[in-house]
Amino acid sequence: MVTTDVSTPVPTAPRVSAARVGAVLEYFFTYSFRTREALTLLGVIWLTAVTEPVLYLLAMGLGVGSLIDSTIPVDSHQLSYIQFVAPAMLAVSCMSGAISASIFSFYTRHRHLGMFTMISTAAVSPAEVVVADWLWEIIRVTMLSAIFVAVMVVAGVVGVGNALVAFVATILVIAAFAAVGIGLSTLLRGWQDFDIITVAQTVLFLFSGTFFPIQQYPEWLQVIVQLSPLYQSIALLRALTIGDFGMALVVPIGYLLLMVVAGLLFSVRRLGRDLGR
Amino acid sequence: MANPTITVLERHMLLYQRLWRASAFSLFILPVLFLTSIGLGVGGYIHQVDGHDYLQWITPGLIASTAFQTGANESTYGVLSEFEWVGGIKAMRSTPVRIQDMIRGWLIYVLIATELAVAAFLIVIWLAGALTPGLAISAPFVCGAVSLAIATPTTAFSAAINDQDWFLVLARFVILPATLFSGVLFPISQLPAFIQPLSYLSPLTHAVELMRDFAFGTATPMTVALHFAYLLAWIVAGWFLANITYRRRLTD
Repeated sequence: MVTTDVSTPVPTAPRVSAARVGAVLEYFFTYSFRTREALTLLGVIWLTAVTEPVLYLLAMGLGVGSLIDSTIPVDSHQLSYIQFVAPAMLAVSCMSGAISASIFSFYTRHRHLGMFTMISTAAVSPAEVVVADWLWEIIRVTMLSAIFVAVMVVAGVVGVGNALVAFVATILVIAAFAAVGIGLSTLLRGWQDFDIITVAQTVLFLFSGTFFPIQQYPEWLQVIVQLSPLYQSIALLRALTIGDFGMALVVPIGYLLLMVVAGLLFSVRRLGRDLGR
Repeated sequence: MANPTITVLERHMLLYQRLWRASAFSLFILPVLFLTSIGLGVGGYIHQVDGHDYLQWITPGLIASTAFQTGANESTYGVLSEFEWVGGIKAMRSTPVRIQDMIRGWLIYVLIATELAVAAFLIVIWLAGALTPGLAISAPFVCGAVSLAIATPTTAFSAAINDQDWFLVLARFVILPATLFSGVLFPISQLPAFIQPLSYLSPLTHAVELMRDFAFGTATPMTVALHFAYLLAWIVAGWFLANITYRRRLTD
């Protein structure tokens, strides 16, 4: 007679299976598109999310830029102000898109909707939940960066070739901020902590070489600014939009890859603890 | 019974007392960040605007912009949550408090929150040694007016919606364009000719011009009266709209 010992652990499956990650992704997808109303609102919000960086680009690049007669030196290039500020705005919109997607929506789904507790009962590991959520944020925010890059091309700020390369780089920027954002959201104690995130984002936004070259700062401050993830993202996108493909790209790319790995590992550990695994 | 408007105000102040610490830090730190980054950093590349250094030129506008954003931001989740989640409005409804008392008490609270933000900004400027009497005296009045000018219609909007996601639409289609294209960071004359009339629709544009006129001593009775009259028109229109949307929501 064959008996099944229920206490025998199920043979451990590979920790991240593509099929299960896909299933979770599909669940996010159907959840977002559950009703016609939700879909309409999602579309409207998506449209507004596109207009935001474009408005900033117009105001800073054309408005403030019209007050600036000199060109801005970047390495060996002389850029007009809009050429200088546009890739930075692109990086900022990738950052804020990824942060709001990961932090706010991960937090809501985890703490308020209890979505991950629910999913994890279906033999899905925390790693799979994190990877699925991460991919979901990347897909959503990449659609926005694609439009922003297209606007830059139409505005004549960047050529088509460089724009395509820069677009690929935005996926890395979004992936890095989304991974770190998910990790940060597991640390938040409540809604009052979102204020800290907003202030931190504003500091990065204003002081990462977004609106003026960091050479304006004293030496010691320049060193600190270079540690900023937004500074590294801006450096990467700015170099790519002006066609500077050199060894200088190694540092920002390495930095962003490190953010991806560290952010994901940390998130998996934190979520695992939350879900009691 | 105490004046119902004051009772409503007391409720909002009580909530504020419990939560103010979270916002106090950003009240002081954000002006410093903006003035150093945009004013000094970007200003380093700009010679002069209308005969003033860039930092001097943007400061009055930034104060007005802070007031405008405070008025708008306070009147979004703050109003909707009273209807949807906290239920404060329902509680008020079961007392002799009338709808106009609810709105009036609420708006006085928004005004106080705005004046606190303006005071913090003025203190920052004073510490930097750049506060002029013209700015110090005019700021509370101009900023109070522009804050109410956007707070009243925003309150009406918040009482008319059910889903908080609409705030994103409001923030990005109305508040952000108004903030960016109202002559705070660059003169409106730099905009394409067909957009300039749109800028003058924004109450913030008028507040910015008022602030700048007072700060640089170029105010004339005529322009001051016209700008204030325009802001007042927004406040009155918004007030009636808010009364309509509150009434509609509470009597269905």
